[in-house]
Amino acid sequence: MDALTPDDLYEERNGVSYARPILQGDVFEDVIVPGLGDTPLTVQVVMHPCSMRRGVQLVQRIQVAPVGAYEKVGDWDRHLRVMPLPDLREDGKHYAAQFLDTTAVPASSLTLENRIASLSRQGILVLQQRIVKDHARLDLPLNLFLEQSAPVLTEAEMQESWVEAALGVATALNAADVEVAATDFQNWLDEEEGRRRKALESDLNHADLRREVRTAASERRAQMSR
Amino acid sequence: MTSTLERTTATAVAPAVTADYAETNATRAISISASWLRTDVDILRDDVHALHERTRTLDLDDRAHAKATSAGVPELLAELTSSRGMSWSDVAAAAGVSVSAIRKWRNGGAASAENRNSLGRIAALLDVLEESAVAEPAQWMEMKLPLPSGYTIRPIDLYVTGHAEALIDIAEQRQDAESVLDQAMPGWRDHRSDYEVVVDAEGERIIRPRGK
Repeated sequence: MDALTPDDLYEERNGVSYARPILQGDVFEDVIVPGLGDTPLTVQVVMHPCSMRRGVQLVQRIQVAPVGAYEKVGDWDRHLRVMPLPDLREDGKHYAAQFLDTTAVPASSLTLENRIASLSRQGILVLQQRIVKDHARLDLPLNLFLEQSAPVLTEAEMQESWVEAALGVATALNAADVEVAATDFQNWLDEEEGRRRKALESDLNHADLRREVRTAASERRAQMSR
Repeated sequence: MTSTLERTTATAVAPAVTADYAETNATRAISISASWLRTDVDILRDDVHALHERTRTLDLDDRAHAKATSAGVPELLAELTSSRGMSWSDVAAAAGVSVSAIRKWRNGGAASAENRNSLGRIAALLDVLEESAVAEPAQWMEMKLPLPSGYTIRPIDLYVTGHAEALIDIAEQRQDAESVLDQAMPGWRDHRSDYEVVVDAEGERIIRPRGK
């Protein structure tokens, strides 16, 4: 299995841009996990991104794995039952998500405010690789996961670009505005009888769509400011 | 690769084995001449190939320097992503930095001159590819190379491993992808997958054993 350094594993730590949609691999603090006591826990989303949403809304319950302190993982081929999260809080301490305790939590408990880390695309693929190996004892190369997940990961990246272009600098965003912009993006994908959503299904169209997103979002922003 | 000097020497010695030119008939003489000519052409081809590679590298360096000098990091990132349509992850991989570093640059963080040059080099390569008749260079970088089933290598993978010039060879159709990979990434044939990604009955991409 593939190993990653913290810099390559995480997209962001100590807070995540509100513009980024909630995705597989995101880490949340202060989540009450049914069946694991009343103390709020840190959890990592393990649900596949293709299954997490209906439109812009998350499905009611999201699969997560609790995150706890863990040893420093040197050999990522071992430690099959966890997703290593080295230096998660940038304090030199190491953590891991425990697949054994995977369960579902209400989507409402996973908020942009309590999201503390997100994974890079490579990180998400490594998480998928480890989940499959843990659940099915099947060891597959990352490029298969990349090919399988390319449309949904591209859509997520496009949504983030849209929100940033529509609302401006990511650091000053609030959750309500982000949701409005994200809905606007999803509606834009569905315009023209879903032409863009269909185009997302082929990797050959992704570069085109990325270009279109930035232009369209900037135009919407200009219209709104008039 | 055999050096020009070694090959010239070897060729110069070879005809001495033939005892006496005077006793050779006309056909034999033509054959010897053709052999010499062929060797000269082979040497010339290799020399021109090497020269072309060196000049391409210099051209790419010049273009990268010009890009990195005339534009700041935000402008370079905008060119690569908004104008060209590259993904953030591919930009990070191609620049040899983490995605978190790219995100910091997007938010105004400082980048080193080396990193700026790396971004300039990607932008320069996309320009060169466009001039080589690749209509959508960023898209082309994401496409799977035409290889036998079971192999998934994209142009961006070649670039990340330091083979920008080899990529241009493929784009210009001077060599097929397999020949380029044999030179640039020996051992690539060891990574054939027995699995493939297909669209299932519900329209979802799934991974399954190849040929099922």
